[in-house]
Amino acid sequence: MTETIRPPSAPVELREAAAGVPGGAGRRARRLWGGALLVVVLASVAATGWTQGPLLRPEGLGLVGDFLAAAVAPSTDAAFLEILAAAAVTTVAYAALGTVLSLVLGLVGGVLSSEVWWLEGRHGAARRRGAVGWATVRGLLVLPRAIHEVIWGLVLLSILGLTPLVAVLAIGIPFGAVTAKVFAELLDETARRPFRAALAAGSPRTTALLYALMPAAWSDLLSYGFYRFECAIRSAAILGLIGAGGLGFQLALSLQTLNYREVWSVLYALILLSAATDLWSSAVRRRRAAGGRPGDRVIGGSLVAGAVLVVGSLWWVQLDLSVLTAADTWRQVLLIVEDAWPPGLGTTTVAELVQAALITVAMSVVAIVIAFAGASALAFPGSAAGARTPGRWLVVIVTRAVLVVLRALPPPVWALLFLFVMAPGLLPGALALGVYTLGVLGRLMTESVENLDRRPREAMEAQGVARPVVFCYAVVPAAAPRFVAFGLYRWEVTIRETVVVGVVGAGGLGLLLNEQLAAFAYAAALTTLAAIVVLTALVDVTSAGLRRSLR
Amino acid sequence: MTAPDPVFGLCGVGLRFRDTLALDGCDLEIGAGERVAVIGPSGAGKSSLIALLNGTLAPTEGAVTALGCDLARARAGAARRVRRQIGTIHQHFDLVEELRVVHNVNAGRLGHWSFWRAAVSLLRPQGVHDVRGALERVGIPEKIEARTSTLSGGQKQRVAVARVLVQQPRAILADEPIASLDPRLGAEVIELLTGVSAELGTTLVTSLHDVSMALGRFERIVALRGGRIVFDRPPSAVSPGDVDDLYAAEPAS
Amino acid sequence: MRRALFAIVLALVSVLVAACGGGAAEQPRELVISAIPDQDPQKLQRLYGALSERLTRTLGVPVRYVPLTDYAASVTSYRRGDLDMVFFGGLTGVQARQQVPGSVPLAQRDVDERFRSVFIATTASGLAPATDVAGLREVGGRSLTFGSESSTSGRLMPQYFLDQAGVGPNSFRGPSGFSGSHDATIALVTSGAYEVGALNATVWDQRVAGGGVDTTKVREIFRTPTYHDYHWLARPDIDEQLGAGTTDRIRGALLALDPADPADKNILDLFGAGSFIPTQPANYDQVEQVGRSLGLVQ
Repeated sequence: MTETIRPPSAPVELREAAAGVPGGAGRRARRLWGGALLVVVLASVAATGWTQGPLLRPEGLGLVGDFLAAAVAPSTDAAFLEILAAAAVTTVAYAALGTVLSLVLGLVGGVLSSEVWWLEGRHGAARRRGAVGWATVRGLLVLPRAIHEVIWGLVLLSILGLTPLVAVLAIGIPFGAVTAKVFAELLDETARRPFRAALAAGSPRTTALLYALMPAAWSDLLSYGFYRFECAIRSAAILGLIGAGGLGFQLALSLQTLNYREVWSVLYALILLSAATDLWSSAVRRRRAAGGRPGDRVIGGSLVAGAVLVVGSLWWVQLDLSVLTAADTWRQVLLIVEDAWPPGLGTTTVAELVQAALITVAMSVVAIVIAFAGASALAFPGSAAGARTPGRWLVVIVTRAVLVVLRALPPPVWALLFLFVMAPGLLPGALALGVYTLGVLGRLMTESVENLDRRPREAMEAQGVARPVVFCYAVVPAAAPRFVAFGLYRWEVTIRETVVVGVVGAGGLGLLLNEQLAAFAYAAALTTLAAIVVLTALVDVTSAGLRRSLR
Repeated sequence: MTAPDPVFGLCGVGLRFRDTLALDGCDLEIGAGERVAVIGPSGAGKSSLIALLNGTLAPTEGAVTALGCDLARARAGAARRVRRQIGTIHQHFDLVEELRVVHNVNAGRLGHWSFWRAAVSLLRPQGVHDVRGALERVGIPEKIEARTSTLSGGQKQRVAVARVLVQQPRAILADEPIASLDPRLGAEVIELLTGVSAELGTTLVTSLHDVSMALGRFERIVALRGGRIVFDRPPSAVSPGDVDDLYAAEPAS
Repeated sequence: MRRALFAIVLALVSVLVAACGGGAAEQPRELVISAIPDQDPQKLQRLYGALSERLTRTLGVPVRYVPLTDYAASVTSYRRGDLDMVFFGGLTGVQARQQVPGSVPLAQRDVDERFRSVFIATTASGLAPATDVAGLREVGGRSLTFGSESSTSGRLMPQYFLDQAGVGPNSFRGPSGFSGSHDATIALVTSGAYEVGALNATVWDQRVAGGGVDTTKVREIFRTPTYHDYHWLARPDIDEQLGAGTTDRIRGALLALDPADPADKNILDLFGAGSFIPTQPANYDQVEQVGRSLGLVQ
């Protein structure tokens, strides 16, 4: 039953997001939420201060023109391209290793945060103890999830120094926590009877888990891993901007001197990489959704390719794990903890902290509104469902290419471009995040349009109903709740990502954190970090509430 | 009435799920080697009874002992040692569809294997000889490498029986083992189970919808209705009237 | 399929084990140097490539240059001991010395003794060149961008002189921006995104001379008084790691770079220096004081 509602090829965490379909109940709750949402959006738009002056500054267009002009003449200097190729491999390697780490962490964390592991088949006191364990692990996983990869990167850089491990851990830890959440849901959704049967036959829990739950859940986990890899490529690029190496690092170097031709070479590399991984990941997930098994050629081949990629990555980055056990590393941790504890405010005032938090929320709201509007508009032309004429295919390809470019350019690059033509402040940052998120959201929505049940539409068309009417009556009502659910899910991600544009000076908690880290004011930075975690948790709760009210 | 040390014992057992009483005041002893059929209308508490016997459920009142051990109160390790001597067959087979048949059969032995042996077995099946023997016994040796999801219902139940065979339990529990099968397949499966029980002296407790099957193949009939044991006697002593009363519609009240 | 996967998993594990073991092996000791990322990275690479080679020859110890993109990362890595010797800016040098007590400022360029920042403004802003620090008053109420948060010439000293003129951190139109680099500051002011920008005077002069600045749109409005900026800072444990006297020999090698020698001149030119000269911690007291008042030094 539920399978028909869910777009099966969408990433698992999004299946849950998309499961919301309006019912008769909760109409009042929906109105309430809707009203609150409207107020928040209006307040956020007002906070951008877009009425206080011209929105666009034509003088700056020349610089954007310079930037765009360089697109047709990217640097093809042989030495630079050689560096670029190596950087691209590094980015892929970070992404691959980060993904593997996140899968391992997600596997363990997922089991330990699943209901079935702690509660199934337990009675009385054992069950109560299980409930405590379950709640504890779930609580512990909130923290790594709330903190963006870039912040993990900055923190780890302080502790571990210049090692590729920083990038791998910065991707692997937060992704691992997200994967754990998704995997726990997968395990809890898996039919429990075989697990119960194994326990009844006296099998230990670990073994029962291995035989009765894993086989059903693990292929979903693997296909989710491919989706995570696609996200990891983008994260690895952004991590490069803070000095972790790879394409992002080259981008930061070229941006520092505004060498646009080099910038474009890097961007092209990023776009190609992003497009390739997106295609790969969706091919695997489509096969899975079509009932593909590990024996399937595409899936099997991808698994082997993935494994080879991981081994190659290990060799390429020369991962040195001894850092983790080195006494010096722990000394550094202690030093930083000593500096950071107890958390304080430093030169920041509470008012500044609150203001920065409000800017962060406003930025995320404006960004998601922009992304939602744009992605909703592009999802239909971008969907290949029912595309038969060459003209229609052209539209599909162009739309998708646009979406790829939007999400392949890291938000800081967009921020710089918007800053050229706009007054500094919240708006360029929000726009930067907005167009980037548009690219990601557009892809998710396109997939969801393609997975819509065609029968209602075909039935209407068979009655001779005009196409625009069919669109309004059969397509939009089916797609809308899914879009809203995706949008809300992405809002949760966007609030974390405000940190990335904050780091380039668009304001909010990210900017504050960066200043504090630049001043090595760890106690104040810890306070800001706590504020970010609280804010993220609040947004998660709000979004979850909104999604529930949609059901 | 049976052997001095019963395989299963229920003493004043009640089982409550929130508002409903699934079992109420049940006393029962089942001795070694007995073949018992539990009959009764839907919702009488047959499945709950089986689930109590293997420790999947814990009684809310009274005590259940299996092989001399109170599963609900024993420590986890002790309970596990007992449970590995009890094999259970389920109405929905409860096999892992994604695994190959050989692993599903081996699942019966997980209680005896270390985690690592179990993990390695998923890559390189262990004890294939016994698995093949069990599958031969249930008549589908050729399916050893097949993916379980590709099997028919009857074949799946045979795999479930094979799983219990490799477990070499002292007692076999079966919860509506033939409810999902057609009559011919159902008869074959019951034949298999009673045959094994007779041959190895294994205790067999089966819940059944099919009264004639119960009367024809088992040596003791336990009838449940509304969570209570209505009668407990050999099939020869069960009259058609008893059966009619047992399955009579609830008086409208 | 299953076999292949099994084999791959095995390979993975063995590579992992090898990676762990490999990491533990003792590596030959070398001198790792770096610089804060305030210039064209390719130029930095060339610059430090030439210097590393020269130092390797003089010291008889392998010298390796590590590029960085982040000011804070350079301080952090220095603190960790990943970098032995860094060409820090004034502020980052103070921060680094504070985190690694006993660090020695080895040398500075002749130009670093009398370093300056410039304030630039859009022509459209109508801001007239100021004749003294007090003239910076006019910048109040305008929008302004600095370079990097931890830059001495692009942030710290400009902010200090603004303070002198009575322009506090919150007296601009909107929050002050951080462009990330001197070049980005020029670009953002040229675009009109900010009316005023502050940056390294040397970079500005080079860009103007190179024709990279549209002087119809942006012009210099003030050049600050001089202050001490960049310097080489060395970790106190270098002698312990590389043999007694190494620190002195490095200092000697830097100070001995001779503008009359063509090879040395090449290096000095790349650094934009006539020569390297001695320096001492007291030279950075002013920077430290300003940093402290701005909360950038703890």
